[in-house]
Amino acid sequence: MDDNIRREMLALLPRLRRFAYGLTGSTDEGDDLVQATCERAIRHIDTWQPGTRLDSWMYRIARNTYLNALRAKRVRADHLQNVDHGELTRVDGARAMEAHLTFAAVRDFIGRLPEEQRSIVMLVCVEGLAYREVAEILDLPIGTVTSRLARARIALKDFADDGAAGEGP
Amino acid sequence: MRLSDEILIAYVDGELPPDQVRDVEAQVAAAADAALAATVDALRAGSSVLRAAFNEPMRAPVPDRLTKLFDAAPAPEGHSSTWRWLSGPFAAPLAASMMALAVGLGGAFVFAEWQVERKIARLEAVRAADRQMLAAAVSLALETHVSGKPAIWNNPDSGSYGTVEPVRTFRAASGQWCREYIQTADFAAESFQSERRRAIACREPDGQWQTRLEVAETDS
Repeated sequence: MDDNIRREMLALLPRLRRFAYGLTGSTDEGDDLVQATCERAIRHIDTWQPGTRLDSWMYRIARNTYLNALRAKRVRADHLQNVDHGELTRVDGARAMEAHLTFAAVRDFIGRLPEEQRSIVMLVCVEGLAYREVAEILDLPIGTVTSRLARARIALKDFADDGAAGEGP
Repeated sequence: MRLSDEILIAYVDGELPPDQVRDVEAQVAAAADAALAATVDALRAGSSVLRAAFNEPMRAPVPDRLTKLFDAAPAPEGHSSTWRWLSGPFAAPLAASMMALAVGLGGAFVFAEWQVERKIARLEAVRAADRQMLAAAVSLALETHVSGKPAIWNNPDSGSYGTVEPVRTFRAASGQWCREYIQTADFAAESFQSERRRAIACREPDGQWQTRLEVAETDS
């Protein structure tokens, strides 16, 4: 692999880790995802087209790797779904005691968004990519990106409002 | 034009064309109730909170297990980038003579060179991460901090750190919002030599802060 590409990938690691953290909800799981992503990227570097954005390409690999893992997990954990749901609600009840919008609560909120919204919110709001770039990474029409993004952003706003309202006397 | 959520969000994200930006700003300013402005603020705040909530990987050092993936000695085909240039008619004799040269000088030289390159690569990665953090601190400070309130950044991976403090906000003749700010940085890669710069950045329609002027200030 070309040294420049190696350098560029190394420099991308913090951002990739952040994105993976957002997708998986934990830094450990996120790092597993980043590791799998980098291994794939290194092995398949020939499929990256020089002149196109390396970061977009790696975000795309990360997201696809995550989706694959998610599907595999879902098949295995299908019968546990009700249990998972109950767990989440209970955690919410406990969290309601805390001040609204702690960072942990925000991460929790992102973790409960449908994956199709979570990836978009992370890429736009956290990674700061343009809608057009996100549409390319996710292979979606730009209109789908904007509508899913709107749903997630309004939900986040309502979540913050509720928290603020809940804090009152 | 009624302002849908999607339009407001695109406005906050800097994704609207300039004419629509003006339209949204006019409507927000003219709205009788403050709800519209509050929504815009809430959407902006949402993005900032999100960035902060997931910021840990940007501050914490990248774990070794990840950087190690890039440490592997170049595999035999890794050298093919050299050979690839040499595909012309002189390739074979030239390759043969280079091989002889390499054998003559011994592999140690090649190895040493590779090690130096690896170190440079690490240093470059650290520099790039520092610059990224500084840039993130600049946009955070300019976007969300009142003048006089500094944003602090630090990169535990390299030990570099610094501050970004907006000092003045004004509107340029172009109508763009601009801010003057002071940034200080102690870059590890520059042996922690402190640098202090005064700069002016203006907010582009896409929401990015574009630095227009940057002057190094020396202590005197």
